[in-house]
Amino acid sequence: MKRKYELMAIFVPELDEEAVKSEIEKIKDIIASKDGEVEKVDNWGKRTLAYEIKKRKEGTYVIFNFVLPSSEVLSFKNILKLNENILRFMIIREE
Amino acid sequence: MAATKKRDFRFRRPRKKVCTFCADKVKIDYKDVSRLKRFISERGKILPRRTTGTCAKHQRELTIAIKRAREMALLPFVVE
Ligand SMILES: [Zn+2]
Repeated sequence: MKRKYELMAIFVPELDEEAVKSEIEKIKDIIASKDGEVEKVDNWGKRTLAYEIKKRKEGTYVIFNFVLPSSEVLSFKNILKLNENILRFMIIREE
Repeated sequence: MAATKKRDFRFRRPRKKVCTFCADKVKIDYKDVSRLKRFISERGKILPRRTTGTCAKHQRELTIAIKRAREMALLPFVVE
């Protein structure tokens, strides 16, 4: 069953704008490969973190709104966990 | 007596507070950091309902949103 989700990802501050763009494309491709569809991408740019994560004081925040078969969420999360350019991420289901 | 009452009403915060989320009909969103900040103390703790006037339903949603925002480093866990 396809559901709506929102992913917030914080990329490491070392990535420049182009590198962030390519990371965004990678994530869109992963979602597409899992029979999902990205509806919206919102790049907040670099922000100061409220506390340090993995020795970083800032990170680039990007929000993805997408639909994905619920059975694919776990494997999607596992792929994101392996991406060392991502400091932290969170996926929530949208009502 | 009547005059005193009137002055109290003007210069003190009214005791009865309305839940801002019910009043504004806004959805509580963990990404809306500037709004969430109004509901945490200077030390970063979630303010109780009796201080903010938030209704029970919205306080529950607010708590979830603040916890999400903390998890994503949009808000601090504690302010030293
Ligand atoms: Zn309310």
